[in-house]
Amino acid sequence: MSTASAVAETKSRSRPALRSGRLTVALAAFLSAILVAGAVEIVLDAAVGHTPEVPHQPAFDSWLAGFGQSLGYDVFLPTLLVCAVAYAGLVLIARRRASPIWARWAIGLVALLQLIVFAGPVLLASDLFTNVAYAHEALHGVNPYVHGPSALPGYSGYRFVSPDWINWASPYGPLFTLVSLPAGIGGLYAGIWFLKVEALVASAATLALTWRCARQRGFDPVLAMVIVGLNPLYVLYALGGSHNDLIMTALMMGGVTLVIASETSARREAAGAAAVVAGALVKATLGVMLPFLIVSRRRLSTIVGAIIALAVGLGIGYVLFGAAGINLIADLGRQGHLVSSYSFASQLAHLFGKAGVYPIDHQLLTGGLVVVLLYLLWRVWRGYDWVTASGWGLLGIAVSTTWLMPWYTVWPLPLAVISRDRRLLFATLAIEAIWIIHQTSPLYGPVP
Amino acid sequence: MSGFVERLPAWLSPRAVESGGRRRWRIETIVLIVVGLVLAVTSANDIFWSVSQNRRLVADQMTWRHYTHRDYFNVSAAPLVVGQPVDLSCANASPGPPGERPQICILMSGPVQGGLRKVIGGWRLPARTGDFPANRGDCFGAGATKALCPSG
Repeated sequence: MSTASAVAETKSRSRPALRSGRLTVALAAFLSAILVAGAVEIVLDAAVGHTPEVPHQPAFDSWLAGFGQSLGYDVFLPTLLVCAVAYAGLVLIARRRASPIWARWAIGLVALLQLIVFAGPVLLASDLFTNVAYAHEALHGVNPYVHGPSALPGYSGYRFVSPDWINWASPYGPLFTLVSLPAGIGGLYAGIWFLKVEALVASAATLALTWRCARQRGFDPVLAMVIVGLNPLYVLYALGGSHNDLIMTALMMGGVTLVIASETSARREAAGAAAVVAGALVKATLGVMLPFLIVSRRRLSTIVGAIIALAVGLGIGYVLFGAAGINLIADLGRQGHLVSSYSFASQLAHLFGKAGVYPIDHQLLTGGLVVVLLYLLWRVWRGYDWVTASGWGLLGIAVSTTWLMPWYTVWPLPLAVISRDRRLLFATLAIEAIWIIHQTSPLYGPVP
Repeated sequence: MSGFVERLPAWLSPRAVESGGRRRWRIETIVLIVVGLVLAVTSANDIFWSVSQNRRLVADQMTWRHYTHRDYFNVSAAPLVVGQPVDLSCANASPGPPGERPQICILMSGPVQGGLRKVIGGWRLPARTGDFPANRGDCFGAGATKALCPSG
């Protein structure tokens, strides 16, 4: 072949490739713009005031009011759906080898979305106000593990706590109450902003550690960042509601980072196990990870690290909040008996013609979950990846709980993106997709 | 502590790679697909259920407005007993904030026809009271015959 014909062939090959590359860049930019526009739309509309999508809250972000229209389901659900499609598109683009979503773009987009949601009102749940109330209780001599916010006399934020929770003692671990205590020091606005900043920092830590773990395990960290950080349920629900699940996931990823480090030492593994225990002392759900870690490593250091962290955490919890503050199993049990219309259990009940979930259904679901966890434990014993098993465990809890909240489906996501078993990632994203489609049911007919 | 692992017998030591597997992987994948399909079908069924429930409740509200000749916006509608096809709709008898005036409540059953349902009974409630049997009065139709109101 002559040189001229070789050059011509190269040109003919590279032109379509170049055009396709430019198209991909344009598409990625378009999808990114959709995500940003969606977040801005939701935040500005939510700032207008209370709707079923926006909990009743004080006007701590009044500078945003006046730009949007009241956020109803007729705006929120289509926006959520469009954002989910844009997210799926960006994930697919990021999976391509010659992806235009390079690190700076991904980090910039993720940071922008997080800041937009952070600046806005509390979205989709009033848990933040309940948590501010628990902090006030703890600082004013009322044990939040014995009494609900209604026991706090003269508390100005009382009216923003959901009526469902005013008599409920805190279901969270003592470490969360401890790190949230500053929310009770100042006024209500200071408390709200403190918990919002806490959630933002936890989210940033989760994403940074996910990035690091992905690189450590030989995965593309940009793809991992895109999958977790742009996820609509992660951004709008978990961060939008400033949920403490983000603190749990940050500690979870901290534990994973320490344990999977290339130069693992006994001290690092002990610290990793301690981080997982700390996460479980924020939200007991993460306790499911510990058996997988211990069975996988089979080193004394992990057991010692976990025991020391548990002893210290429970000791501090006992001193501050008494026996009620360290009864994590009872806290889990209390919430486990609630039923949300979001849960797959409720949907299964409707499929079988039942009006709702009954105690026998609870027992069947718990039994099924135990079987799955035991099977995973056996797999880990035989060499299966403990990180993946932990992800399956968290996904199993989210699917089987009768008290499913949208942000619970985010728990396994940081583990799924660093798992060598890609089935976990597909399963987690599929569950989220099913959940989002289910949420859009009011769009398909009249609403009373 | 690092010597602990080395002292473990072979069957107890941690394994870097899981043994066995292709058949188990296939079985697990099939189970996961089946579970995913069940959840997808369950969700689709729930969407249809939810849409049909909403249609029924909208028809309940329309029926209340048609039956009472009051075109009010705030009309409640919900099943009288969860899971049963008899619904209850209540709203103010005269203009005012929701629940601040005496209420007219009507019971409905049967399919939606022409956007409306069949009225089978009802009762009145005093202003600012919940719909409890002790508060119900002027009961008629199924409200009276099915002992949903206080006797006398």
